[in-house]
Amino acid sequence: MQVLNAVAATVLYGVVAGAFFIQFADSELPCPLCLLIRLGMLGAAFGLTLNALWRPRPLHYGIAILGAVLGGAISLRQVALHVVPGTGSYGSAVFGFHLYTWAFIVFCVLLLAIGAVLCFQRQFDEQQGDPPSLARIAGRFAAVAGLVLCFANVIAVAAECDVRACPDNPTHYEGPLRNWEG
Amino acid sequence: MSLVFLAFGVAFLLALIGRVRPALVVGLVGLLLTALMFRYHLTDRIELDL
Repeated sequence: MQVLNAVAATVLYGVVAGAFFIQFADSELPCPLCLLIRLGMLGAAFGLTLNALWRPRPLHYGIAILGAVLGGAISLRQVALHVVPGTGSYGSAVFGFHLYTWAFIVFCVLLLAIGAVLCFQRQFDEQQGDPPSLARIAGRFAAVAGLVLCFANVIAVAAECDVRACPDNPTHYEGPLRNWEG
Repeated sequence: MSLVFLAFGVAFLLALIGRVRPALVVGLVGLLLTALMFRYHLTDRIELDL
């Protein structure tokens, strides 16, 4: 079960890394809601990573659920902002959907998956000794990936917004990268 | 907003070095800050140039 949690967390990191890649490859600056969606995804992945690093605990799943619900609400808010015909969209579409729509789908699938996994009571039974080596490696990989993504986002957001509140419709970097051409 | 990412980064770091309880607290603080920032955006203080 720890390996499964590590895989799920890595998928979420992949989504955040994809958005991060689009930010620099396509020069698409993330809006404040986009950044909040990333935070929700990192929060959900944090709970799963704790499960992967240590034994699965209901508290860890609780954090993942809180992050997924929060991220789902934020992405739904952004979908709602653009759902009326003629109100445009933010950013480019990937496989037919915008990133915030994909994020909402990911959060919904994650909540369903956590609900299904929580049905397996045996994972919470006290077990003696260290976790298997594969689970240890997978957990550490997930934690390091989360750590790297968080600090990469710290730098990127500071470059985009400087120390002020992020602009609603960012068009250029306001921090140290203000001369970045993409 | 970068401070919230920093909070999650610290939470991951604490989890990695084995400080589970502080990591949980910092992670929950990160989620709370995210919720508060979302609440701020729900007040329609943002203006989208559509």
